[in-house]
Amino acid sequence: MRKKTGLFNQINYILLFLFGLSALYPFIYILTISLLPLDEYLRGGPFLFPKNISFEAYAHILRNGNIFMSFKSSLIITVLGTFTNLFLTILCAYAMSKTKLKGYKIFINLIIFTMYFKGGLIPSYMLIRSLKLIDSYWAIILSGGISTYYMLVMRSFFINIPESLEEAAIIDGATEPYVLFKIILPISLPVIATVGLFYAVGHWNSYFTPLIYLNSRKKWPLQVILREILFESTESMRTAGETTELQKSAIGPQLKMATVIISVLPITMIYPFLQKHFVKGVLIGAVKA
Amino acid sequence: MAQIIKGNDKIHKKASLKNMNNLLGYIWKKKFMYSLLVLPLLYYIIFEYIPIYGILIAFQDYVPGRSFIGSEWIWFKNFQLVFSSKPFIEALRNTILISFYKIIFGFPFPIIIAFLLNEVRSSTFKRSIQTAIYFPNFVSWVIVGAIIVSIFSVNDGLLNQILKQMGIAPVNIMVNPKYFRTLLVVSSMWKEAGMQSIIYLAAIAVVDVQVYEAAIIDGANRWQQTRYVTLPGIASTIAILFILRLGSILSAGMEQTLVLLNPMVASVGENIDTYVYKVGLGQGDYSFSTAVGLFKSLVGYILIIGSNWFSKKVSGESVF
Repeated sequence: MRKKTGLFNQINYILLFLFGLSALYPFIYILTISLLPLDEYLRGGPFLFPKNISFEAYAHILRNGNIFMSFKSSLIITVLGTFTNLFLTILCAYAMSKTKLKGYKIFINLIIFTMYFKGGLIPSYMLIRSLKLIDSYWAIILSGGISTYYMLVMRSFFINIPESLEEAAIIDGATEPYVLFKIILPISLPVIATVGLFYAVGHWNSYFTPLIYLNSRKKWPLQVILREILFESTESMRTAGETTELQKSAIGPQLKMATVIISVLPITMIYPFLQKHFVKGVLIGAVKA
Repeated sequence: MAQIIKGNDKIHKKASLKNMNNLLGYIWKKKFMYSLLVLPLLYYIIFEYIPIYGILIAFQDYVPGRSFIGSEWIWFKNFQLVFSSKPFIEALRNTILISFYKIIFGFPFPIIIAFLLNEVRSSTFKRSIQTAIYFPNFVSWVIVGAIIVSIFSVNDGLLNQILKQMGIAPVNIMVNPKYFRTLLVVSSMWKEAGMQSIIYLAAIAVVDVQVYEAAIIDGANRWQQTRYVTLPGIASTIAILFILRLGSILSAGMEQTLVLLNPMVASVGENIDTYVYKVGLGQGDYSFSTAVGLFKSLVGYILIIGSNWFSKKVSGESVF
């Protein structure tokens, strides 16, 4: 009996370790490539452990500076977007947590319906165009104004706050706005932080929405520019069918990989904060289900 | 008789006027709550419901520049065109197949991960594995695409470098129609399974301890406990998540596919979403692609309602 559980445990640990390793190793590999000197790649062979480390690729990118314009775009979209998202979501979630409000049933059904039935890409695009928002950051920010899923998560949280808290405050003479801003919001900071982080990551990583709504290159956020940098020479490689030495070094892999590392850096830096909050957030979402 | 009716009329009128006043009074009393709803509802009306109204162009021969109802009505002709279009049928077939594979493999995988993680004694090990497997979820598909290229590229991907050293011929995955769907399925599992396992871990954690204790008293070993206590305990969570997953069966992945798709695998990789994008925004055939989009939304909606009803009938579990 003890032997069996021991074996199972060992297999378990190994399997999980392999999965964990497979989740992280690709990033380590990318880091390795990015640290190679610029002329070493042409010599071929597996690049698992770098013998010579060089920051040439990073220096090259930092000197070039083009990528930072897209960083700025992404930052604007992420900050403005997340603020708008949180503002609308909190208002909606709090109002919808008052289930005794007249009209509640109509509102909540109208809102949830949009989770399962959408107008589609083209009508949405046409709407943005007729609102004259094409090529404006607001097209992106407004079109994703509220994620009904996150709103429902926040609403669950508000519903679970004991009524006695609000009632006590009102008896003490608090107005409804006071209750919301000075009592409910401070208590709800964890959920707000979690939802906010998820919105923010969503904005930072979004590729398709900016692609269709933004026409000027200088407004293109990080992921769109990345796509261009990372995939264009591979495209030409495929159509050619073969790689010549020249094509291989056209936009050298080290540069590409260094670009990837730089792009992943912001996410990596806030990842510890994310981790702290999102497990809680998903738990609350799970309770809703 | 007539007088009594007249009298009732007056009372009726007075009553409804009173109701109206009451309603307005209520709204005024609760004006703070309603005012909170103004902007969110505005969002939903403008950015969710107006596009739904815009679906109407699927029934017209839409001319760009006109309003949503300004073009000639050709009713179901667009749908005839859609279903007789070979590229659409191909995209539909791809979507169903890819989604099917993603569900068969990608749905149980996070559950298994959750079970495995749950059996881990060392909390340090558990937490470090969790930190590792949640990470890919927070990286964009563009980045994941670049990673995939760096590993699987025919010429200098890591895999083929290693194979070359071992003297084995290089494998072609990214531009090979035979393996492309596998690539899609596996890469989405790699990226998302970690985060998806969190919900199941949470569900496992709330299974009543007393049921475990009863099972242990009855002599159940760990495997039996898992099978007879944990699994039933989280069955409702699994059912609900499965219903929701079915509802999006016609979404095979937009950003993932856009990033990885190339001409050589388009015949097996193009799905409904990328097809709508290609025909709609790429070729400018608005009503055609809206018709496709309507088809997709309708089917998805019916699937969710259907599987929800079915689950209610069979097991009592439902999302609504």
